Amino acid sequence: MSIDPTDLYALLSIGRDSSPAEIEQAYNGLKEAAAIRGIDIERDETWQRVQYAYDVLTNPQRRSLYDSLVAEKAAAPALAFDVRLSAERLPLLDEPQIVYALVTIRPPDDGRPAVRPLNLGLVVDRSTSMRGARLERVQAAVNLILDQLGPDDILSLTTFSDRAEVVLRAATAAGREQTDAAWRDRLAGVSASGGTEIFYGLAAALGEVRRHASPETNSHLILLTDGQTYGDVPDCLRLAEAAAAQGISLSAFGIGSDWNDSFLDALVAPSGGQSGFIRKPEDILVHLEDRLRGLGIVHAQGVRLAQKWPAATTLQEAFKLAPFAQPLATHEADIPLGNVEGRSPLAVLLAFQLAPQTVSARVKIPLTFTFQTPQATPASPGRISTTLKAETASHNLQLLVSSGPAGGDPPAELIEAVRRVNLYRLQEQAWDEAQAGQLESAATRMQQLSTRYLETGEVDLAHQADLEAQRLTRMGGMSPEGRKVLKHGTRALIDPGKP
Amino acid sequence: MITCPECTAASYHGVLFCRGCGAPLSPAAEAHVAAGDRGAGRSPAPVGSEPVRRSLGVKSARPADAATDRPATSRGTTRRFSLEQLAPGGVSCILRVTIGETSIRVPLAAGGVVHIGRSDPAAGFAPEIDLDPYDGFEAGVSRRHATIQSCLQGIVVADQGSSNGTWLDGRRLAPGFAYLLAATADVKLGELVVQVSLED
Repeated sequence: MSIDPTDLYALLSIGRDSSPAEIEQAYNGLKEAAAIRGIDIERDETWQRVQYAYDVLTNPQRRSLYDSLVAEKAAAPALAFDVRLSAERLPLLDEPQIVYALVTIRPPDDGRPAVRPLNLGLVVDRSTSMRGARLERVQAAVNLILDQLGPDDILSLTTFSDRAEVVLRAATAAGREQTDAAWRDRLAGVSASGGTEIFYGLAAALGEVRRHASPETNSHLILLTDGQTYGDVPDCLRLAEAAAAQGISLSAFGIGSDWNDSFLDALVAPSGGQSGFIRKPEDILVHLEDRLRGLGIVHAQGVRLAQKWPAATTLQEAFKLAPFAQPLATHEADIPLGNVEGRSPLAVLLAFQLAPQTVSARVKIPLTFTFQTPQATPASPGRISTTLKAETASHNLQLLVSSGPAGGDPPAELIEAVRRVNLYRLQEQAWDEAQAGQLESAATRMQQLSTRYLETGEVDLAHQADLEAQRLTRMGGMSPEGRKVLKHGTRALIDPGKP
Repeated sequence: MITCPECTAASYHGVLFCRGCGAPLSPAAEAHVAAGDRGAGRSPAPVGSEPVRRSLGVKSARPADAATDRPATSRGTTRRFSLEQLAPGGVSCILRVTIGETSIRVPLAAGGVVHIGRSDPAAGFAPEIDLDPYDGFEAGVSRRHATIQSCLQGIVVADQGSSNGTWLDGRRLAPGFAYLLAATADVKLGELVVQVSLED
């Protein structure tokens, strides 16, 4: 067993409740042993640590301070995990079966994470279609964001159409080359023209965020667009992956009905970010402010779930429920879950498929999460530096497959989560069917969905689904607007706290 | 595999809601939907699955409110009550139970209960509607399978924790709930389908 060099009691091989006399005795014993072995106690590093431990623990004030620091550290795990299963006891079956897990990851109750300055990049579409209310609302929103930033927060603004322009270079309020008024003039001078090529805008905006990306800042990029990008989708996705690897997370919002929603979903997936739908220009500010609120405090960033499933177990579904509802990318070895941010927990619904099991057995499904927590450490007098600590947390799902009685009913919140995520999958399926020309089944599914929305009390979504079902039957397709209303409306249903 | 009672799509065991149409598949999921337990901050849920267009006509009348004035015996709607909710009272009637070619008539008193199951002479248990002579055992009917009860809410049917389940017009009954019987209804007990009609 190796000794933790920061554990002063372990260095002296004594218990935490040792009396001053016992400390003295232990110290003298070590000193004698060192003398016998001919250790130079003035120079030997290990001995210096022992000496330091002795000095601290024999001074009552220093000892009690040390004790309280250690206790605080031990009592505050980085994150609290709660896992609920749809069943803990499963029947023996000669066919596959499904078990659901609702995983909630909370910041510790007394969690005071190291608050880091925000390093925010905004990248805004200024193509012709943004002309008018859309661009005006974006400009007004950025103006308000400027007012809300702290003195250490960094902001940059990049616009794009066919080409990109960095309108405001990444800087803190104090670090800007121009006065605040000149900044706002530049912002007001942005006008709309040209097409939509997201890649150039994204690349330029990431360049700005990267200039200040470090463990010391909370780096994030928000994309606002209202159009389809052509030909550069794979390049954009590569950029998003590179950004995620550097600890820069992405959010993307589509305005109106003509943007490519699956592209934006894919763009935010590598960093576990949010993709959203802004139906009306007047909602732009609400969505941006909501996103910024979440970014204010980050308890853990880059949370990932390792896909190391036992034999005969496959992950069938992974969906993020909170702090915002988002489908998760499951094609990689690790599923990016995003950040534990603000005061809200990070909640995920998982569905596992178990292969046929005809002999009683205990099945253990390991859930291993990796993440980074910002840690404040005094660097030099008067200055705190922040580092990112890589952490791992593991939880085992324990299942008993046997011929005995099945387990009790699943918890109500798990049933409700499954129900709502299922609604989301249903509308996705109806859309896929409509795209594939299977109009009859798409229309039937839409009609069924309409009934389900109504059962959930969602009259507006029920109405929209009903309209789309009729449209599918009469005109052979869904409206792009209806598609987004249903998709993002159902996401809002999964996470009711959102605008 | 579980077959969805509403759209007949097949799902693996353990799936809570049909991936084809969203219908609840397990008794727990159905009880959850029926109880309208949809988490904090949500509007109350309508019961049953009425066609949408009808309910959307009047926006102020949320389906949940509309459900309370629904005629008690209209076919095609399923109204549920938790067993504790059932109030004494109600009307008397004659239950006509048709099993294949045979029909039996059983009186149901106001506030009374009629048991459906299989007789068990050893335990001295004889349900009013005894399905033993109709191959009830082979069809998976439990001894104490279900009850039909007259109460203030109307004539209701409830599963009694049977091994193989009870269905009303194709919908599986969630345990702990009583379902309003229409004037004529198909009740499936395990694999045995009987038709129940209410006569004055």
